Amino acid sequence: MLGKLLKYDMKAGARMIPVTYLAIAVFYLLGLIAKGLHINQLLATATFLIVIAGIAAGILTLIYVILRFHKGLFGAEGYMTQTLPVGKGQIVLSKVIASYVWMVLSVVAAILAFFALIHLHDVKELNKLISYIFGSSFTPLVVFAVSTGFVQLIAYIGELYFAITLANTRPFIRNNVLFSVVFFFVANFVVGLLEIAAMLFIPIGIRITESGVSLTFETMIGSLFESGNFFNSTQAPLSEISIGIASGFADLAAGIGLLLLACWLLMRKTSVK
Amino acid sequence: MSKLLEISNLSKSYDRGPVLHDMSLTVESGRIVGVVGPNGCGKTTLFKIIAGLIGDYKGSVLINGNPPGIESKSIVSYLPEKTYLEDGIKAGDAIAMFADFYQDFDRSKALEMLSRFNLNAKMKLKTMSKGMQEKLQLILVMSRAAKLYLLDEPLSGIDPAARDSILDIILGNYSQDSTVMLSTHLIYDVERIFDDVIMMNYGKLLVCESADSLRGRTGKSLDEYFREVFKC
Repeated sequence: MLGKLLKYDMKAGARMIPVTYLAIAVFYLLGLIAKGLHINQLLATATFLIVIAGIAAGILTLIYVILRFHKGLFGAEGYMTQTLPVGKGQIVLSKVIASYVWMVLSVVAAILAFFALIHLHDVKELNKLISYIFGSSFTPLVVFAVSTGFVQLIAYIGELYFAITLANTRPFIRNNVLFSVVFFFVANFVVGLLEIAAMLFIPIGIRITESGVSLTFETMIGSLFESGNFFNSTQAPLSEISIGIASGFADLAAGIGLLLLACWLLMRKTSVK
Repeated sequence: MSKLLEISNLSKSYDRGPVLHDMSLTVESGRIVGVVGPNGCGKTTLFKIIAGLIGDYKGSVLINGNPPGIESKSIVSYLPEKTYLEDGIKAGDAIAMFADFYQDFDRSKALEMLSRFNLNAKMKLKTMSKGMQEKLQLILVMSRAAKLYLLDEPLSGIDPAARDSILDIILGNYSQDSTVMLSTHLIYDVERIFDDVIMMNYGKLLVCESADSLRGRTGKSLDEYFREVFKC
């Protein structure tokens, strides 16, 4: 049954989001033509449109994630969704998977749009700047940042779904939109604190040196003290700092915890309007 | 006949106060049950609890021996008073979706009814009139071979001519061993089809007996009795 739920959740996203991916591709093509023909005005227009399409991909994905969950469970469509012969956990899981897939695709589309812009404008200076800041360690840091970002998406979905579900419980239902926003920011702030605490205090991290990346079992805060640059960590050589990677685990745990809470609230404390 | 629905001491409150108050009743299989009462008497809340849409109630609700959940939802076919399909969905796609989710859904029966009631499978929900939307949703609900059909106000907002066709869909598609619970305040139009009557007022059960027994006891039609009880 999860597969069937997923089919309809993915289809709902497919009706609105991919058009922005297509737009990025079309405007990039337009930019390539403009670049080839040296029409600067057209190139500027294509650049602007790629940026707009990239932003639209993000906004539409966010709208999809929020509305598909809110309308599908608490709006009129909830009368159907919540009377299907499936567990509420499966209904939520299907929406989480579909949201995650569309979010990842949109992030990839945004990254590709960014590279398309670099390609269209030959931004060699940007590459130089990045190399200057991170030296030869640029690639592992990017890999780390991107993989952390993909894990963070799970926490982000958990925060959104938990906030919407809590706002649809009896004490808050009359102003459920306002409370959804408030609860999201509160959840986001708390998860942010957890993330920072896990990164600083849990003794697992990576150390990036000239010779490569190595796993360390020291706390990030300890390495900052040892480097003597705790209050000015940006001045510390990167090789001296153990970059805490437990923030990813904290995100994953917080995301799963919030989703389980949302499921529990859905089963016990919410009603369809 | 066996007990299909057993409700004991059911209570449910919203912020504005209690909606169902210590309600107990039993519904047997193979019956058409009219659930009647004035607006706001708790009919919709009762149906939502049986359908599994409301979980925070007090008391016990058993459908074929199971509390509202996955098992009960597989044998309950529920028509809410709201339109619950997406605006942009086509009638044919809605049928395909029901066929996907419900093992007891009869796709050919749904398509046959669709053409009988002059509904086009390619028509989108948002382009349909209210009567057409009601018919489509009722076709979806009645194309299931469910044990319990919960039809919440299927006749409200429907013109008299369309009411007859809606009653035709209901009567022509439920099997003799299944039960239909139909809520309405348009009793005159439908009382002829009721085997049993559940009458509610402000969350309390006033009557739960067979329609013939009520008529015999009061010497009035259900409609006349309803008007007498709820006279302002």
